[in-house]
Amino acid sequence: MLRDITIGQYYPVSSPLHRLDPRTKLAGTMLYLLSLFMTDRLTGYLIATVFLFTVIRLSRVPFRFMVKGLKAIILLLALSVSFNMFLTPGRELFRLGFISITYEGLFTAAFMAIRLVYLVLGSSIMTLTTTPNALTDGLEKSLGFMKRFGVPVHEIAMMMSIALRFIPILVEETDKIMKAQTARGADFESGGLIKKARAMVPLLVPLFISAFRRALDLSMAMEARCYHGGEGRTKMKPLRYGKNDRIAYVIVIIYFIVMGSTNLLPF
Amino acid sequence: MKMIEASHVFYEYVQRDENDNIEEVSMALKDLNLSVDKGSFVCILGHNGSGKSTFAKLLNGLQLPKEGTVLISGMDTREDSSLLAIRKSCGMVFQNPDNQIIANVVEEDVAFGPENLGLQSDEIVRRVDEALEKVGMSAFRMKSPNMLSGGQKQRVAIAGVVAMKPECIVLDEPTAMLDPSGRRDVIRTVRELNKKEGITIVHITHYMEEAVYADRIVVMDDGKAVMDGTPREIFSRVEELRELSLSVPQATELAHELRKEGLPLPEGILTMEELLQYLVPLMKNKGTGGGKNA
Amino acid sequence: MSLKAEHLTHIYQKGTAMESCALSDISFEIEDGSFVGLIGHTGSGKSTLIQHLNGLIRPTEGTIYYEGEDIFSEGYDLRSLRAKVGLVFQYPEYQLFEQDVLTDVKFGPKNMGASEEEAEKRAVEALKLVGVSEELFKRSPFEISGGQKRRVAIAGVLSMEPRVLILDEPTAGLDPRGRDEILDSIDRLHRERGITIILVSHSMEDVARYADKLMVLDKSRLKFFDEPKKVFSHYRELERMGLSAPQITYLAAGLRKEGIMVDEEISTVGEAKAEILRIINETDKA
Repeated sequence: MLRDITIGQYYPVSSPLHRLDPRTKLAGTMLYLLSLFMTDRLTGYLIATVFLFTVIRLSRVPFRFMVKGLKAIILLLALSVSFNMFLTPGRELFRLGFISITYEGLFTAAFMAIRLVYLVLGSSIMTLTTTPNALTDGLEKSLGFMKRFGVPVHEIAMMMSIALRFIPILVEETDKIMKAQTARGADFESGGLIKKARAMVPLLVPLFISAFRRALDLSMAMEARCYHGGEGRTKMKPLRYGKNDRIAYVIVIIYFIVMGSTNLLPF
Repeated sequence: MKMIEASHVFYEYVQRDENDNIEEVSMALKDLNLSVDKGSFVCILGHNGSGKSTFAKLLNGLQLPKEGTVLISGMDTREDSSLLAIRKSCGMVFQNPDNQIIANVVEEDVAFGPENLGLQSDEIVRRVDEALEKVGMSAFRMKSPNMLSGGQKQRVAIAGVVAMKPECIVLDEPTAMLDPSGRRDVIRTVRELNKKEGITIVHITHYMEEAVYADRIVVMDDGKAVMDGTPREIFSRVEELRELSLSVPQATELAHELRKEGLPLPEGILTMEELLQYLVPLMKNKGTGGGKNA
Repeated sequence: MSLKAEHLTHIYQKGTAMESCALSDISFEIEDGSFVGLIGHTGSGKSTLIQHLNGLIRPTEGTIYYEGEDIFSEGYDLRSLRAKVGLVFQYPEYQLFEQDVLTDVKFGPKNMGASEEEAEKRAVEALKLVGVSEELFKRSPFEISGGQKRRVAIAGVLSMEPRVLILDEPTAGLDPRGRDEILDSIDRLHRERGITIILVSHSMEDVARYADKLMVLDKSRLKFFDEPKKVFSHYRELERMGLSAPQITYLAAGLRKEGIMVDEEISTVGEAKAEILRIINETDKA
């Protein structure tokens, strides 16, 4: 189940998109997400579609792999589509008992679904083409100005990247402890809420202890490798904007302006 | 100058109860004296609780001695100002391969140390290239550590230390959690670093077969160094090792047993090949008709 | 009779691009009261196999019979099977969670519906069997030494009074003394209690010393299931699987190459000593 989540999963191929500076991708994704909410015209959606699919092609990530990330939002999608479809007043198309489907409802539902799918696809392009570390680097650098207000930006970025590294390890460990306790007759499935909650103790206690032990080990290993906070630390691959980043910014900004102006069109 | 010089080192663990009263004090090191020459390969043996892990952590200032001094290339680990220099010159590899890899991509992890040292980017890239090459992990450069086997992870951890260009590497039971082939790869890597790069190695282990390759073995018990010598010298004292509840390599054990039965074999035979060389002349022209499967 | 697998196949993530075969068409029968060593390179399918044997994972194809009954058939009581076929995972001390040692060991029997007194009786017995002394019973399982933790965790499975005990590398990460103590208690359980043992190990020397049957897995297939001596005589093949034979086997092979015809099936230090002395003395007499 947890393995199905595509967010945070890096897809290792080489593409123009992979090579962009993470800050460019962060800003680009932000603008793209905003643009989806700026338009309610068909033309706008058409432009967004062309833009999105061009970017997907450029990323060289197989489309099928990307669609897998949508599985996680199917329920949300179904819910919002049916709400919009059945609850929007307007010109009635047809009626099934007390449920009526309107022309407007159908339209909003379709737009809503497209918007949601495009949101998820757009943000997963970023995570699929950017290593988690590059992503945290990008965040650290883009939010660097907040250091002046006492926000520990470096520490937060370091924590994020360590969390990303240890999530799969802890998921595996959970599975192992659960099996080990099942082998001792533990039952995680049956019973009411309270019984189930109590059944979690043999899983959670070892898991917490293990997490603490790992944290201790890791902090020692980091210290042993001369880690002393962000001060005086350099980067193997410092973030540097290149020609491609400038081009990307121009394209995204033009796209953003075009999307904004679609509202002036009649359809 | 010696690489490591520990003199009259004491270290204790203090256990406190909820009210911060001292509940139990256990002495991990009691008047330990040990020095290590530059470029040598030293193996430290001893059962759990003999103080070897504590000793390892003193070597790069992760823990400080209660009494006595630890000098690394002449620098005192208690001097705050030399702490980074000590950690740079004396790197450490720990037991659990998962809990010492920090980054999500192999090359980024190897770069972690040099980045902390504040080196220039191109220098870091050069060192990462070199370090991965030396441990034979270049092909895995862009891989996630989670996709690697235990032995491969340990080699990445070693590369992370090598990239800091240390004079000495301390390995605290690096093979304890590995399978035999992972163990072999790690040992091969460490031996090569010692031979080709001249890096001083302090290898703490439970596996006697791994100690055979060292220049020198130190056996620790109850917080002290109780035996010190070449592998041949140490492993010829089979009974003493047994008393310290340590084992010896099987070749050594068999030779020792046969010697007790009166066969003219020297003490301190380390490998099966060696034993074979001594046995063949003793047994030649014998046993041609006796063996079940002859 | 006791534990039998027929055409066992397990495929992970079947039907996806990540499909991988962990076990393919494995059949064997483990007799009551035997001591089986299970060896194989990392990733050969050992862990998957043992988790099938007490019903923790279901096979993609094939069946497992315990005492003649299909354990995956409808209505079969898997929970009570897990008491009869005990499984000790790798680094089992990571599953300890109770306030004190004794309560932790009681967890299994209580899950199986034993009364408080019965659970306590079994826990005390199990702890004694693995050599945990009484003064540790009320200590926290997180404060005792590594070797002791390991033994407490094994007692946690033993207290369910299994007839078959499966151990996944029970000596991993321990020092020589800890290794010997654990292996000796396992051997005692086998000899004195008649418990069937399945021991997953990377140490050929250990399985040579204790096991009476060896199971060798390679790339999801069962390559050998025979007496250790017979298996070790295929040492060239074992090497191709990334394994090896015990060191003594190599000594015997070396001697035979020189024309000294020692029994090629020796694999432990004790056997080698006896065989070498036999040959030397025999010819002296002659």
